Amino acid sequence: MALGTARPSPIGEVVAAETARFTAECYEVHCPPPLGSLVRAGEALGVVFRAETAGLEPGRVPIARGRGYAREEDVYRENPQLAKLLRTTFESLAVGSWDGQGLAIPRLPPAPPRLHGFVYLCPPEAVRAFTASWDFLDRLLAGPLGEASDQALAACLRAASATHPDSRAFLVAAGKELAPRLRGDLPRLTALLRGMRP
Amino acid sequence: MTQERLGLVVGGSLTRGLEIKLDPGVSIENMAVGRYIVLQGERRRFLAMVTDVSLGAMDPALALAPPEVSDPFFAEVMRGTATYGKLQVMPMLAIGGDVAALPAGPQPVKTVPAHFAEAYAASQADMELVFGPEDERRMVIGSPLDMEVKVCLDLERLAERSTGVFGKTGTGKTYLTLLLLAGLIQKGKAVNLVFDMHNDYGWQVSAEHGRRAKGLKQLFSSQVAVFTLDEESSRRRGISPDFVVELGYDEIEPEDMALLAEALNLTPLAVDAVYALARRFGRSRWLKWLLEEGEGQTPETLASLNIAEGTFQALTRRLERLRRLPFLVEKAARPALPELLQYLESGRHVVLEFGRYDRDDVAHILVANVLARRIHDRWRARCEAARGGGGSEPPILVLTLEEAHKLLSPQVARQTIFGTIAREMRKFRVTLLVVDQRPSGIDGEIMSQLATRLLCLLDSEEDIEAALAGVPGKGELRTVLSRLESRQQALLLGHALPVPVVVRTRDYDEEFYRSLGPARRAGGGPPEPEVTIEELFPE
Repeated sequence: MALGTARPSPIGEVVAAETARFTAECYEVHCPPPLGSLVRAGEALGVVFRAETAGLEPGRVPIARGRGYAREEDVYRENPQLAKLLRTTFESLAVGSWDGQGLAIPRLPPAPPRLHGFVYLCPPEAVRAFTASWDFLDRLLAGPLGEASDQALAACLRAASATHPDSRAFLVAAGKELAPRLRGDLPRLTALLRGMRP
Repeated sequence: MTQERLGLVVGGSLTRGLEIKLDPGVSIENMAVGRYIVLQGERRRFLAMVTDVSLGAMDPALALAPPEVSDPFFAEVMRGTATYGKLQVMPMLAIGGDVAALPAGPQPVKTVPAHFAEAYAASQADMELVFGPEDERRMVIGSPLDMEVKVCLDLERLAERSTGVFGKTGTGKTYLTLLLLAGLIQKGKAVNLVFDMHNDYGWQVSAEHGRRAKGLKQLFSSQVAVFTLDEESSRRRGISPDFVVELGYDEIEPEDMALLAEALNLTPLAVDAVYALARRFGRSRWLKWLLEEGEGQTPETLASLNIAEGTFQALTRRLERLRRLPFLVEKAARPALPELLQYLESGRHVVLEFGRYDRDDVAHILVANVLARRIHDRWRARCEAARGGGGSEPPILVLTLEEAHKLLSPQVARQTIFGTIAREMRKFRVTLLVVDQRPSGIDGEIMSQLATRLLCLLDSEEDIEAALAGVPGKGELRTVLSRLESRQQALLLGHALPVPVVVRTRDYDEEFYRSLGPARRAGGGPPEPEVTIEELFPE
């Protein structure tokens, strides 16, 4: 699959990586890629399943600063240092790898992405091509966060459906793939389907 | 393969049938019991009949807490995945996959396809391969459900063993039988003698909806003769019968009385008395004596006959009823039997109408037995002579019996000639075509000899049981049989067909009449000329 030939700008940088997942820091605070986005870091393709914004220094916990302000924006305007003291990170589950020639394979990359490697958001045509086969579903269903990973999966499918010509048919087909995988766990299946309902 | 895939084989066995999980996209409502599907094995294709359709769920909890199916998205996802359709199919035939096996044609099934063999709807080509084309020995009897293919019945095989046509009243038994008879006559596979209890087959069939159809005489004119027991009734219906049948007292033997015991309400003692009379007065003269001189016999005469007076009186009283049958005469002016034999032996077909005696059990049993026994004797003699090198074998004779339970009930089957004919099968080249609405009323042993069965809708449990007695895969076929439509649908199975099949029987109409063409002479020989030499070259 084509992962886009034009050079898009990176959205972040890998700050922790292991075989099955990687964490990246966003260049903009509070601007992680949407839940369920397909991202690429080096050879690894991942689906964003968790994002977090926290203080830079473990010793300095963010405290409430908004008393007396009428709007949220005022808090940041009056405390410009905040943007420098906070960081947003997002975690992706590795679901496949990019072979370097622009094709995705539903297999974990041989090595985790390099630290400080750039992370890119995959363009729609890449998402469509990657979601044309269903192998990534198993990886996401086995995600580390349980219910939250399932919601990421639902979001991923919903987002991917927009890149397919018949998005409803895509979602129905995805649902039909999920049903046998989740046999015996009807509540989970129902919750997933509710999350991805068109 | 361009055919629509229905699903995959997921389990089952040769004896219990295979289970097929339908693909999510296949609508279960399009499946129907009795339909044929093809299973593509590794080396051969299997033709299988759908015997049950069911619903399955992957998760038992689904039945307890159904998902939000009001949402079409949920329903669409669940259909075919968490819930799915299942077919139970019975493999019937294997069609060789490679070229070398093709000339051998379809083979009986001895194994099953492996797991995940794909199932397809049977194609026209598959069905044609199985049922063969219409030719000199096969006739088209109808088409399978939802298909345009023609199902052919092998009439040669049909005639060589006995056949049963069963179905409730109004399911089209008579038309089906007419189709068979017309086919047998046209292809020249047998000589037919039809005991036409309801006057349906000779000239015209009148159905309940005022529809009229041609009888055999109209279709084959000179090839078919109409004999009647009731000339008046025949003439009223516009037929001039070829022969009016009369039976002489001398033609009735003590055995016939044994058969009539139930219809005439004779006690076993009375039947014994008949045999005693026959011993004293002769087999051909006892009835005449009894009817003419029976009354006023002295107790001494009776004592010499070893018959109790009460028994004798009861017997005379009961046999009085025979006097009321006008076709029963002291001595027939023209005995029916030689005439009948002459027709049959020359390869012509005879329909014997019962006229107004259509509801008279005594007439049915008496006439059918007296005639059939003599004809059977004659056929037997000719067969034996032929085997000894004297003369040729007679053509196969098919005796058609309507209301067969009267002649083949368990009480009388052992004694009637029809019981003997059914058991002997084709040994003496006489077979039966049994038509009835209550197969359960027919002796089990006789039923088991009916090699080909054409079954229209039956709804009583006993009748279904009896109709399928001795058929492999009976349990599955029972579902198919009880789901037939009430008109023009039949389950055909047995000797004359490669596999059991549900058909919509062809219409008995103008198109059928046209398709018949001239009849072949049974037992070979050229067809009868359409016109005589006199007509061609008038003086």
